Order: sequence, then structure tokens, then C-alpha cells
Amino acid sequence: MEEAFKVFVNGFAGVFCGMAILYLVIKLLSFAAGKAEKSGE
Amino acid sequence: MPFLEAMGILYLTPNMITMWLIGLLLIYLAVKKQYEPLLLLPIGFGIIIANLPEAGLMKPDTGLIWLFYHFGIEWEVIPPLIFLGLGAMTDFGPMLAQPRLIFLGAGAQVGVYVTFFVAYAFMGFSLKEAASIGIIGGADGPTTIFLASKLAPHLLGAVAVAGYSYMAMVPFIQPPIMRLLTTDAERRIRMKKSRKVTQREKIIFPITATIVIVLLVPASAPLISMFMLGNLFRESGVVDRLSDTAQNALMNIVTIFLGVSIGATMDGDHFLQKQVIYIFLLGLVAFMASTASGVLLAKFMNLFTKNKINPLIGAAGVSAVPMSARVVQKEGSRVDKKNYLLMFAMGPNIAGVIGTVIAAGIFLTMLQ
Repeated sequence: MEEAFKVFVNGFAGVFCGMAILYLVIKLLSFAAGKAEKSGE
Repeated sequence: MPFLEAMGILYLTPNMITMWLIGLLLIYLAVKKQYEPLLLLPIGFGIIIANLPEAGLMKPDTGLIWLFYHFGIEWEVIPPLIFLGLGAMTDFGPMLAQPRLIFLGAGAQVGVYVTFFVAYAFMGFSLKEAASIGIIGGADGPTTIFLASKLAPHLLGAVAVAGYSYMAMVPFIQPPIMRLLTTDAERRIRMKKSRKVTQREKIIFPITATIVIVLLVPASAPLISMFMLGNLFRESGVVDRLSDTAQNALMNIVTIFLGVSIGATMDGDHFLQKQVIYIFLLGLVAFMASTASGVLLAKFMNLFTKNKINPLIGAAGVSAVPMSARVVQKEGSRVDKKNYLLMFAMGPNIAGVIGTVIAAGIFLTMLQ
């Protein structure tokens, strides 16, 4: 049971952590690449 | 006479005939009801031919379908190739335009882990089996097959059929849960218009996302890298031939091998067990829990955000692309015909694909 609980907690945390980092990547990307193209227009 | 002794009919068992009926049922659902026909039709036929006595199609090393299964699925070739095609079909624009919505794609993975826990703690499945069942809640067929083939290959057929069957039933499973968990006022919420995403962002995203996700969860590399490569084909605009092949010809070819191979894993002696009924029940629980958790997370996010999220779009966090996004649009338009939620729902929908792959990668890392 302990092993299952460990997978449960780690999985849960891992998915949200992964998405949080992806969120930061997208934000950074919109700041860098989003604006760069606009200024070129 | 040797000829008479070799006749398959002499070796026919009741289990084989039962499996033929199951195969015929899937073919009927595919043809008549159009439930995921691209998969259910070859799966149904695969079930029938795998249960023909003495045909030896699944005989290790020599059987024709066994070769498809061995080199296609056991060697992890087909699911990543499907992801290549999916990537080439995917537009990340709605997700990049509203990045906060990607958390809904994570929220919907709650169903995966809840079902994993229930399957292990209360239904007697092993950890690896429970993970293969839980991932059904991600509503992502290739990921489900990828994980089950590595952790619990003996359950592959049941898990895949349960997953694809429920994906076809998304328009029936999700709406009651969405209505139960939201008020009319919440369903009427109109979301702020998305910004325009530049081509440059769309080209850079698959490259950076691959690096970041694979650095975090290396076990997700086969699926994520192919998914993002397919997307890069699409967004780069310079390899239209490759993008077209990945989306159409290649996708169709691997779908044939995938469907027949999955069907052929379901031989009567192994498939007709109490466990399979549990898998179907747990698969339904997983879908329902994923839908509910996506909606509830959207409501939770509304407690802290100024620009409110229509909680219906949380249901699109399950990665049944684009069916669950269409369900969101339909449910939203029931209370406000001019509320266009489809493009907003596509964000969590695509994030759900990534979320499910990360969830599968974590299962692999911890259990393999």
C-alpha cells in the first residue's frame, strides 16, 4: 500500500510540476518570440 | 486422415465462439454506430482471426499477426508513430494563447491516479496492472497502449478496447457530470478573447517543450519526441510532404497494424475472465473522475483569477481530441447559443495529451 501511495503522490505532483514548468516555458516564449514578430510587422 | 485431423473445426472451443461474438459486436459498433471505427473495426477483426483454431496467427516467432504485434507494439514502434501523426495534426495555438488553461490538462489526470489507487487497493490488481488501467482515464489511446504493453501486456487488449470504447462514448459520459458540477451562471461565463499566437512561437514551442519534458520525465521521450516532431513538421511550413505523410498515409498504415495486433492479443482463454469486467468498470470510473476533476479545478482556479474560466472547459482536459472539446461547445451553447467555447476548450484538450504522456512516463519511471 505504501508503494501505491508513493506512486499516487509522486504522479500527482509530477504531472502538475511538469505542467507548471511548461506554463513558464510558454510565458517566456510569448514574451520573447511573440513580441519579436509583432515588432517586425 | 491427416487432412481431417488438421481441420480447425475440431479444435473449436466455446471461448473462441464467444470471442467471435465480441469481435462482431465491435465491428457492428464501428460500422453501424461509427464508434471509433478506425480502431474498433480492425480490433474486432483481429479478435476473430486470433480465435480461429490452428490458424497460428499469434504463434510466437512465426504467426503473421504475432510479427505485427512483436515488432510494432512490443518494440514500441507503433504508438510513437501514431504520436508523430497526431503531432502533425495538432495546432498548439489555443494552448499557447491561454497558457493558464494547461493546468486543466493536468487536473484531468487526477482520474488516472484515483483509478490507479482504487484498482490496486480495492480490486486486487498489481501496481503495474493498476497503472495500465488507470491511464485509461487520460483518454489517450496510443499512450494507454504504450504503457500497458510495457507494464501489463496480458491486459493490453482489454485496456485498449475499454479505452477506445469510452473515448467513443465521451458525448454520453461527460455531459451529465458537467451539468452536475456547474451552475447555469457558470456555464454562461464568456471567456476573454485569446491573443494571436505568432508563427515563431509555434515553431519554437515543440523544440523547447521536447527538451523540457524529456529532461523532467525521460521515460516519456518516445511519445513526446515524436509528437513534437510531427508538430514541427506542421508548423515549420517547409516540409509539407512529411507533414502530410505523417498525418495521413503513415497514420493510416500504423493504425491498421495497431488495430489488428491489439485485437489479436485477445484470445478467449485469457480474455474471458472476471478481471476484464473490472477493467471496464474501472475505465469508466477513470473517465468520470478525470472529467469531474477537470471541471472542479477550473472552478477552483476561478477563486483566484480575475478573468473567469468557464468551468465546462475543464472537462476537455481529458485528451479525447477533439471530441471532448466539441462536447464542451455543445454544453455551453445549451445555455448561451453565442458562447463559443470550442477554441478555448482545445487548449486543455491538447494539454491533456501532454499531461497523460507525463503521467505514463512517471508510472514507467516508478514501476518498470
